[in-house]
Amino acid sequence: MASLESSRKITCQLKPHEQTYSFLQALKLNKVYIIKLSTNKSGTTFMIYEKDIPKVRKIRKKYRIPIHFSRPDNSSVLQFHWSVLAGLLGFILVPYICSLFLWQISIEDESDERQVKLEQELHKLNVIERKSLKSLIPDSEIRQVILANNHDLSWIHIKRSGAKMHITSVPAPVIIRDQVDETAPSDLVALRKGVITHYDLRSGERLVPLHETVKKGDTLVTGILKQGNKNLVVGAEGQVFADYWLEMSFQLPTKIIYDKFVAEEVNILQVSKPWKAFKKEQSLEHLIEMFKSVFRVERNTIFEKSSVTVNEKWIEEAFLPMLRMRTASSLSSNGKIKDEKVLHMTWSNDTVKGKVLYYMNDNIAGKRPIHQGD
Amino acid sequence: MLNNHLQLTPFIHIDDFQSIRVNGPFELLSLSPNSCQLKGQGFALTIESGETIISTMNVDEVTISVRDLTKLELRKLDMV
Repeated sequence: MASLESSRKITCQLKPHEQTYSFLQALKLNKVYIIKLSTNKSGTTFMIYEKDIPKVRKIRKKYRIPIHFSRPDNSSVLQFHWSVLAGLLGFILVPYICSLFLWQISIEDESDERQVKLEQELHKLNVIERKSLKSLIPDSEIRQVILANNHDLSWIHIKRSGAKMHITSVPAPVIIRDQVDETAPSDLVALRKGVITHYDLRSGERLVPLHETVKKGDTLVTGILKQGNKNLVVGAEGQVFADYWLEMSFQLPTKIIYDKFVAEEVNILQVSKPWKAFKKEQSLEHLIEMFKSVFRVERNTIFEKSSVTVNEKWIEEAFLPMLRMRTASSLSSNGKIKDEKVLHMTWSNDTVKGKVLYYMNDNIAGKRPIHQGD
Repeated sequence: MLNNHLQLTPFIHIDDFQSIRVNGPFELLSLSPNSCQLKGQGFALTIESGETIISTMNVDEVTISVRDLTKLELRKLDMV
């Protein structure tokens, strides 16, 4: 950098003076390199190298010539010097060359063992760090090979950003098969009263025809098959659907009061209280408290009391759908509510009582182990 | 380039009449926008042109760049 500094050019301006030529001659004799020397009416202008300034100053004093120095390239930040140009070129070339290589491979997987396995597989595929991006095999091929070797994966996400490669594995969903309890074969019995609508059986023999009413405890499906004189215990499996009525009763206050979220309040610079305390008693504790309060942020949630007066419309539009939802949530996935009927509603001063009847269809069968004797 | 090169005396080299190089010990007698006078080795060199600028000057060499050269005179000082 020293050579660069010293090779900067400085413009010197001299006003017309008798001693101009002898001054220039003296500069020449002191080995000051003069560049672009020209004269006009306003005086003489020339350039020198920065390193010669001390010499020029010394000679100027001797000849008593006023001289004005200025840097012609003062405003330009970058000097067109070979080292500057080489540096600039380096700033462009080095990142460009670096961007041609793969610098980082990251693997995201739930299990560490599989992560190591995937690393090894990538190594085998020659997908390694500090390798030219052009020579890498395409992503689809990487995915194909990894998926072929790992049957427990459903997909491989390969994300490339610049010189980084991020691989995320997606495990295949675990399929849970129903555990058939073969050790204890059982019959299917009715858990409640109802009219049988349909069967959904995997094993066992129907005992009750469709559209027949059953009572609680009746055997619906037997797990014993008769083969000639022989009894074969297979166990009954499946569901038996029946229509049945379910009664729900409710009791509500006629006026419901609840908290309603209105807003959130953020308080900052709550200094007035600590300031008053400090003014009252000037202690260190109060001073610290005051400073603390400057940086304290208080958050308050504002609630509003809201009330609803229960009327028949509200019961019909808001309450009954909620009750229906709650009742439906107790059903199995194939069960459904076929109909609903409000049996009665009694209004008193502060409460309302009611009964709702639901006509539902759901599995009513439960298992009862077959007693095989000894 | 050799054809264009004209060496008039041991200390004057003319490359292309736009750049005149002077070697050896010399003294700058005068310089103005249109003319330049140098003295050295018993000779006096006068250059007159549309624009005369000393492009470089150091202890043993001066290069004068000229535009529209009108006069180039080299005189032996004894004859003055």
